[in-house]
Amino acid sequence: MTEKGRIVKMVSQDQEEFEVEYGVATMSTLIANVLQDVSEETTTVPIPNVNAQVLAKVIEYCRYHYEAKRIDQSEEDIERWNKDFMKVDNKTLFNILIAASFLDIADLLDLGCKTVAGMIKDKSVEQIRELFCIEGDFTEEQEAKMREENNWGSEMSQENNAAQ
Amino acid sequence: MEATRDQSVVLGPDIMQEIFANLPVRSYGRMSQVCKDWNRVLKESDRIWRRRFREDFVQGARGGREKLLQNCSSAFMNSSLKIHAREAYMQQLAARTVTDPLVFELEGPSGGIWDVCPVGIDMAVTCTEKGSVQSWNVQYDQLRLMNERLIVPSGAALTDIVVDESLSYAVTCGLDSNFYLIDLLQRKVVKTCDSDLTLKMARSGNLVVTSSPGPTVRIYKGLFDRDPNVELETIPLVGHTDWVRSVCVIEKRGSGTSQLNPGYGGDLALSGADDYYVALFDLESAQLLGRMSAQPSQVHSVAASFDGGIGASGNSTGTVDLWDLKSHNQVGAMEKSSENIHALSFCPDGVTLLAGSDRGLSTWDLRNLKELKRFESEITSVRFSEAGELLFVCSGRRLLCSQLDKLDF
Repeated sequence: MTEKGRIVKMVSQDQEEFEVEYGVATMSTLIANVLQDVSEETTTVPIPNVNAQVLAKVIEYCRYHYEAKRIDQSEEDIERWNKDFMKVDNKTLFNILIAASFLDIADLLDLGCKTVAGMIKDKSVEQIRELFCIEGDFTEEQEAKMREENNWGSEMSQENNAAQ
Repeated sequence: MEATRDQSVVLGPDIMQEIFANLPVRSYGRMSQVCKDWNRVLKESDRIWRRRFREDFVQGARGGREKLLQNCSSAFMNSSLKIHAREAYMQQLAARTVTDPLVFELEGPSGGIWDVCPVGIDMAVTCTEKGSVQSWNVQYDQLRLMNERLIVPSGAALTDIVVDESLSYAVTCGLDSNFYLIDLLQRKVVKTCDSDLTLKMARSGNLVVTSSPGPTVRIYKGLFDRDPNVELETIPLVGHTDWVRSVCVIEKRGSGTSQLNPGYGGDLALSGADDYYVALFDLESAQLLGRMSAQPSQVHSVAASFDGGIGASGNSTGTVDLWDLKSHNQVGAMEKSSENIHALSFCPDGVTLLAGSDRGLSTWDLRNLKELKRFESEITSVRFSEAGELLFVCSGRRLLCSQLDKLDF
């Protein structure tokens, strides 16, 4: 069987099956490596720590980029698509990041990290905590000390922001 | 609360590193305050810093100088880096006793080092009396000599060296009246320009401002141009009547400059000469903005504070005068023994001034004009890196380097 017509079945954490073209699935370095090591008949790859919703998104990304490359889509179009693709709620975004990291899809990981970086770039410590649902685990003394030490830097960044 | 906890997705350190690597360095201080995990990722992750600096360097080389500057200066301001450096320093302290305020030093093998020019955030180039150019780098708390083989063809003593905006070319001037354009990556002289004898240089964008054994301060255009057919263009700045000993450029970036010079848009130059005067020029219009009298001393070195508001001049009689560059009035003077002060530099903290002379390096507290500390040795040049986090001092054949954190004033 040629690789072109080969179909890979990806199984999510919640046992949902996704049939994906070989070229699309192997955009994940992890899957490419797995498929390399096994015989051609094997077509089912379990993705145990990614749920169906997120896996569907990841496959959507891979499929678009696989096609975009094939038909030589313009950079602007790809960029616009990427931007739209990243318009998801934070929880999904973070899960996509984890999935991209696990599946080793460098472009998607990079896109996701850039998106998150853009989200938190100008946010305050409290806003970031809220966004990530993180609770500050420093003692009050530690916090005060850090604030003092960071004073200079944050004034500077305010200046920079104002300049922009 | 339970609902929000449900929402929480924990991103591992690998992903966090990727995210941080996409953030401006100036935000790192804030990020390190979010929680212990983030703090740890930032502090322990050499990968971020290394990658970051390399990228910034490449970007700088491509001409994104502003970004480079912004990142560099905030890297210096950034507390997590400071904490990092301080911890490393404490370990170092535990290992040995540091008696000098200057932490690293290394001897260059070929002749006395006459000038140093910091390159980016962790490198420097130096030129020597034997006509050689060296590059150095500071990494992992160590100063290293990277390359020392480059010697200009005539072997003439090189008095000063400046690096261009892209950080890939340097111009050095020799006592053979030549300027040499050096490709720092290929480590070779790519162009030689025959010109006037030059003692000191300062860079303003693509221009180089020079002082010479004569009354003229010159602006050179095209010194960094690699094309051999491009002729050097010279603009004289008239304002002195005797040998100009020293020159420095006050960059427009500081808010101080626009205040002191509302009518002019560009960089300023400060020069000091044997005619007892310090002169302030506008580089764009090539006009003299003011003259400040340092009588009865000849002026051997000049420097300006980072914001451009205060100028300092080091004199033949060992005094250092401070000038308000807006009103052109003297605002302070510091006196020492009769030493020739030929290296001056403001510390980025804004309140410390370093003065190098034949006999040593003095640090002065500008708030009370008191001398803080002294380091005995012959000093030829004192320079802070552009971002201000590294201090380089040339002393005889040695280059000394210190991170600002480690200078104990």
